[in-house]
Amino acid sequence: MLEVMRTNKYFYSHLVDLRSIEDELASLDLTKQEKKELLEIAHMNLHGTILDAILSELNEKDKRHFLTLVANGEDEKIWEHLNAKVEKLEEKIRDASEQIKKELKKDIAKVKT
Amino acid sequence: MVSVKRSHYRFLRKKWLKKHNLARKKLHEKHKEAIDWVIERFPAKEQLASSAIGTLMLSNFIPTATVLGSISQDPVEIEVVSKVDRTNQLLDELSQSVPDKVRPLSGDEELKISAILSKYYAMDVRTDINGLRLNRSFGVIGAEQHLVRFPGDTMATHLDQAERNNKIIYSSGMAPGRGAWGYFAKSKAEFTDADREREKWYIAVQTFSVPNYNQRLSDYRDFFKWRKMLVVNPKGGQALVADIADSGPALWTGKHLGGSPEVMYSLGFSEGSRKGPVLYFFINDVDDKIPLGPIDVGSYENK
Repeated sequence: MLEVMRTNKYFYSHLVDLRSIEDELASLDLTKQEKKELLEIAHMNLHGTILDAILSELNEKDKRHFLTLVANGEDEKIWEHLNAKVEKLEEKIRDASEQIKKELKKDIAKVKT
Repeated sequence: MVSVKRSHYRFLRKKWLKKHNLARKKLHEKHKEAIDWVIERFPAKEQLASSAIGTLMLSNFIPTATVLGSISQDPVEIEVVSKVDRTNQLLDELSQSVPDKVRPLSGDEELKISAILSKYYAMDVRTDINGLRLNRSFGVIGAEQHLVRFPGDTMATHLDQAERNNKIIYSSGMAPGRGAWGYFAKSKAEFTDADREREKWYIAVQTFSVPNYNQRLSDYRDFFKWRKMLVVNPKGGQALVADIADSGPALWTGKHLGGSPEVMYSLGFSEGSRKGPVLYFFINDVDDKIPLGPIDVGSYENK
């Protein structure tokens, strides 16, 4: 069954992107659908890494508040909350995303050899 | 022959999904209380599914399109293939081999049913392993209590907040004795996540009533301990991977196996008489890679 969906940005989307992964995937001989699917899975990995990086900086009460805001998609409040609780948050999100991107690129390099 | 192009795609897909599943499991373990708390309280599962947390934690239970679509970076229209729920297909196929009334299955029926379960759950499901087996593979499961996991474990320490809010799971109480293998851990300090999962998803089976038990005593001694079994409700389609942690129930009870409160809840037997018919077959998980807990049809395909 095919399903057309409109997708949304997340609260951290202005900080990180997967263009470099997209470029790397473009160098492989994949169908459009395969590239799209792999990119989606790469996003899932990025997403988990960023959530873990943020949650690891919060205490139990703040974790719950953060997750509630995320579940409700209240991006502005998420930033208000996180900026009050975590120092150098944007840097930490960027570092975490770079780490997972590095791992994903390593996997792509492996299939090229 | 698989082309290079296809192998690139398959390699990356398999590797990245594995990485994601592992990360998701670790994330849940690390921030379990907060994640369970928000999942428990969020009113609409569909709405949560489309959020950042739902994407990560509920992806086993909702259509792939919803999961994948919800995490795209740019607001673009994409086409993705939904994962078709094949549970009804499984139930249709099972209905042709599983008797209406609970009774021991014939060898032929056991073979057919184990083949069906192996196909749908993408794992090696068997009636026996190296000739070792239970007295039956189709029977009535009844509700058991929680088991003491380590010295000093009580209902106050046994459940997390989300579980305490589930009256069915909380009200079951703790069994007075220990499980067939004793404590799950020697002390609270040595208690691990694996121990927690073993108690949570345990079943009790009639080890005392297996064929040739006395002739193969040494083989059977270690065979049953924490042995993984696939337990399936053939009417409702609920299924889970359980482990054997206790012996029972007695033959006179009319029941053939018992399930922890979590097992009974997941199989759809947490209300009314709290018992019902299930298929229970061994899983030949040589590398111990299949986690305990509820599963969907096709959960382990491509793994």
